[in-house]
Amino acid sequence: MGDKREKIDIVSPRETNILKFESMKDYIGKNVVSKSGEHIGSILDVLFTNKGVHGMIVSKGFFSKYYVDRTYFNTIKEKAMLSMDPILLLVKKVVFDSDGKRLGKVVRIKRKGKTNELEALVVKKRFYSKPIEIPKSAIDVMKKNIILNKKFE
Amino acid sequence: MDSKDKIITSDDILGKDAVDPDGQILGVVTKLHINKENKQLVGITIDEGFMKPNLFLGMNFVKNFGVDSVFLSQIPITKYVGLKVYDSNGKYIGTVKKVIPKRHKVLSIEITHNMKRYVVTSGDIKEIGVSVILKENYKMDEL
Repeated sequence: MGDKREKIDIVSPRETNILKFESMKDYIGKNVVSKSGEHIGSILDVLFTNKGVHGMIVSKGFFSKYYVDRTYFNTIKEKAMLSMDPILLLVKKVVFDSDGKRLGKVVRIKRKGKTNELEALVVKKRFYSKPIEIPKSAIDVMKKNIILNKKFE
Repeated sequence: MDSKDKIITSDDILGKDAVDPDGQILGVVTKLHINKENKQLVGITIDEGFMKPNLFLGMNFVKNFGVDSVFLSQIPITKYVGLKVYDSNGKYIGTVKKVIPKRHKVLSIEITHNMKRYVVTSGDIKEIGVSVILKENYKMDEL
């Protein structure tokens, strides 16, 4: 990017070097990787005010889009590396209780406001079955799938 | 718990999902291995799916036999083979070819990239999950 900008004429009362600036082109289309190394999408748009970049819209697939705050990004170089695993990705993960019983899949996530902090998971075994709400305190492992620390009837 | 409730049959184990400590379903339990001399269960075989070799795990890898699944107490290190390795900026470094273990934990990993082999010790690994992410100032020695 920088070498192409070297040839650009500058019209500015303040700046004599524009190579120090980052370009939106450097962000858009970059693959986004979660803390655990999972590819979670690519940057579709960058949202900013006159104070700087506030966050990015990450797109995964055709329908799934979400806004990720700038503070959750570690580095944006070869790939955009996040400092966390977005809890939105827990949807469709399998939930086992401590007795190895398969309770179903996560259908909805309850979180504190719009943050990445989990409050509860809503799990369903089948489409028509009654949903079970599992509080954060009942979760033992929350990685590839979810394992609880107690039995559920 | 009644002693009768503690006894399960092979039907309660075979065909169940084997779940590692990260919650990943490694495959389905297809075999039980029994020592014919002392008549004790020594391990299980997991069918990891199409084009993947079956995985034998000793009983020290089994945490408990659950209702719908078998929970494992440790992650089999063979699971890491084939994972992609990135540096902290997301630059592709290579693929895990081999894992060198020490007491069932990762001591170092062997990475291949462009026909070259490199080794990275566990101290330089930031995260092992869906892929391997290295620390910022990692050291990588060519083999």
